[in-house]
Amino acid sequence: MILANGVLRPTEEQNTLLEGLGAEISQVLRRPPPPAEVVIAACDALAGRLLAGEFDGLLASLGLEERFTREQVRSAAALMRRDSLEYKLELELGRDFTAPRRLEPPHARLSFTRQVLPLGVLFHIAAGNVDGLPAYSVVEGLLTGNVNLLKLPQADQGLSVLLLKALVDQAPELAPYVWVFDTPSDDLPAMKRMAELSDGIVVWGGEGAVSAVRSLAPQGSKLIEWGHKLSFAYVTAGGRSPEALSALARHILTTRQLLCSSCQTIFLETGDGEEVLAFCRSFLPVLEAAAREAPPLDPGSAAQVTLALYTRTLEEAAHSDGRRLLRGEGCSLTACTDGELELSYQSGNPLVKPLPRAQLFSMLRRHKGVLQTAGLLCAPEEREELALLLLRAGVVRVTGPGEMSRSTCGDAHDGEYPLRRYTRITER
Amino acid sequence: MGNRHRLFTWKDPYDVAGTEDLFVAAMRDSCTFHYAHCPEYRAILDHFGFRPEGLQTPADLADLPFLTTLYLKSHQLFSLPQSRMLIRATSSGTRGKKSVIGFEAGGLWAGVHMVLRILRYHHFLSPVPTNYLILGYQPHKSNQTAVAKTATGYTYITPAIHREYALKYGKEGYYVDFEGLIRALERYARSRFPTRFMGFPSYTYFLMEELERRGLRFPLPKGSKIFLGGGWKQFYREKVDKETFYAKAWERFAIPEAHVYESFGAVEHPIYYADCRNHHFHVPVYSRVIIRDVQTLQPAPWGTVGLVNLLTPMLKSVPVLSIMTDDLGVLHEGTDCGCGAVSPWLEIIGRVGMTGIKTCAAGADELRKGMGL
Repeated sequence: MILANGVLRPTEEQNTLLEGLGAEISQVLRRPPPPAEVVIAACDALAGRLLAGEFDGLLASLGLEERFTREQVRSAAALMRRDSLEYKLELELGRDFTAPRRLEPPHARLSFTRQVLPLGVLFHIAAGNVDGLPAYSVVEGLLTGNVNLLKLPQADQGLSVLLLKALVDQAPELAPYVWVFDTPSDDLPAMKRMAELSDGIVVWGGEGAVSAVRSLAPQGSKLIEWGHKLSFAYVTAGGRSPEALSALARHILTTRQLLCSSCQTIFLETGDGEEVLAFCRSFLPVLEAAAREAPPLDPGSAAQVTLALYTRTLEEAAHSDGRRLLRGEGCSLTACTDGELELSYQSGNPLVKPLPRAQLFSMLRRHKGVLQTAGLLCAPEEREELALLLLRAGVVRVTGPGEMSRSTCGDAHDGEYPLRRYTRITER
Repeated sequence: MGNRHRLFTWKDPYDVAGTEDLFVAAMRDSCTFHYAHCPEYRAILDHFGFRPEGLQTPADLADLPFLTTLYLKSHQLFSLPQSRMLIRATSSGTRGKKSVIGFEAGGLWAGVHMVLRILRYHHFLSPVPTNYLILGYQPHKSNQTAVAKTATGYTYITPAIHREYALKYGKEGYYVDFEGLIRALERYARSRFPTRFMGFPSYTYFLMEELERRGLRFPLPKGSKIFLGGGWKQFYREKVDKETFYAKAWERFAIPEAHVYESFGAVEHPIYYADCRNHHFHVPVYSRVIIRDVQTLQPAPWGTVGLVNLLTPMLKSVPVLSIMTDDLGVLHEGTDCGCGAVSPWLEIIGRVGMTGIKTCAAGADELRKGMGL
């Protein structure tokens, strides 16, 4: 399904629509962008309808009612409320950011007007690991006055396009600013056409989209990449309280280790392999308890985990690399001897590694490009010092074990304010 | 004459029922050989307490420990010195890691027999000179993928007049030569001889869409055919509706549905699967399929979705006699098809992992590996 200028169209019309899109967008760009207030009012109204249960039937018809608990709907709606969006705008861009400012810089003996304007056209290539994220990415683009082309992830079951349709129905003046396509990533001609139309390409990591986009992006177009990050937990001797460990276990199972902020590797502050094994033995029942509470895996993910763990068994049988797999009910732990950050088997199967504090900093520097969140399990008196050490090494967020994947309005994405990247500073 | 040779020269390539005992015997020979010559394979069988003599009846095949394609991508196992391997092929390796499989003379010879018998069964061999349009890679030493090799290989089953490649090798690596394709199609449409398309379904589809967009039609001579092949994944990733595909083939090239053929194979299981006239992939005698439960890995009943385990005694060079793909599929009873072949047919449903997504954490890992970290 395609959303074009406020109207839902069949997928087959994609190429015809793309043909005329350049001319249409040019017309839109000549006009002043819609004020943020229009977007805020529309989002706020939509959030209200979401909370009132108006979309429950839609979620059920898309087979998403099990994926979305009331709690998740509530927190998604909260991000779209007026107060949230106003807070976000003020935090990221400042109050009245679109107002022109007359400047007279010192020693320059001249004056001019500086104004924050939208980047122009944003091409969003969304990932499928967070439901509703594609729509939220477009809302960020709208808040800054951009025309948005959205390529849906293949996993999107129609939720994003219907949410955005509801949004532009709420405020029809936004319709020319929202174009949603369900193009597959390997339809290169269509991807290329969309890339050529845009001033900035917003890529939410995944689906092999990034490498495709790199080769498609026209010279000089701005590539804005979010995601492609790894997160981990660091556990000191003073941090192993039962509450902290079960919070970590719940985080691992509820995010299924699919997010950039999900804990992949648990580092223990020790150099002793035996201690790693002992930790795994005592932590496995905690993880199993969290697994019993978590919703069951879909067959595709279950198959992936089964294969990965079976492969691990083959490796242990034929190649002794010192790793040991401890299988639990619906989860597992792999005790390792090395201390490097690594992607786990995901879906409740983290790696556990020894890492003395003296080696923490240099290890993280080796992975500086991919660091995101660190969950810190330590004594209160160690916390400030350790947090600063992690941040100085390149981590962008240090949290407690249960909040690694928390999301609040005005969050920075990977250490940057997204709205700043969707705008440009002009002078006249 | 060895059991493998008897199996690969069996007259009817879809007589699975008639070759059950022979298949087990050939698997036992193969297993005994790899157990003796590949230390890692031996360690794995020992770990599971399995011995080659355990293969006595068709039911025993499910007990043979399998290797996973995932495992083969990180570990190269060999049962023969590399000097004995005449051909090496690598998987397309969409996630960076690739499996490398070598073929020894005996395995290659078995493969030739297999291909000839399958081609003959489906009437693909023809003495009529043919124009080829290869929607894949022009052969080059930088590209060792099996996909590139087989696409070109298939242009030898009829005398080739001309071969035109969609992906040409230039100064900066491969590039898409769309204009070259159009020029070739103009020539082919005027030719007295038929055209055969070879390549990925997705590329063929996008070519037809692009022609449609430009309003171009190239009705090709009678007897022209479209062969779709490539990795297994090509078949479900696109989710191109088959009916749409056939309709476009008729509109753009005047090629009827009956002349659109699909085939697949995997580097780790180099058996030629070709579709029947009902577009079903019947299991040929050289191969057996076990669908396994996604949680327990136990064999699953007919008609249930599970992980696809493929078995063949084809190779002595590498112990790929039982491999587990990362595909999800269903095995159907052959009698359900009605094409004449009665061997079971395999339907690939998708790939493990959540539908169509790669998570951002997994993406990061890949990026990092790509940077050599």
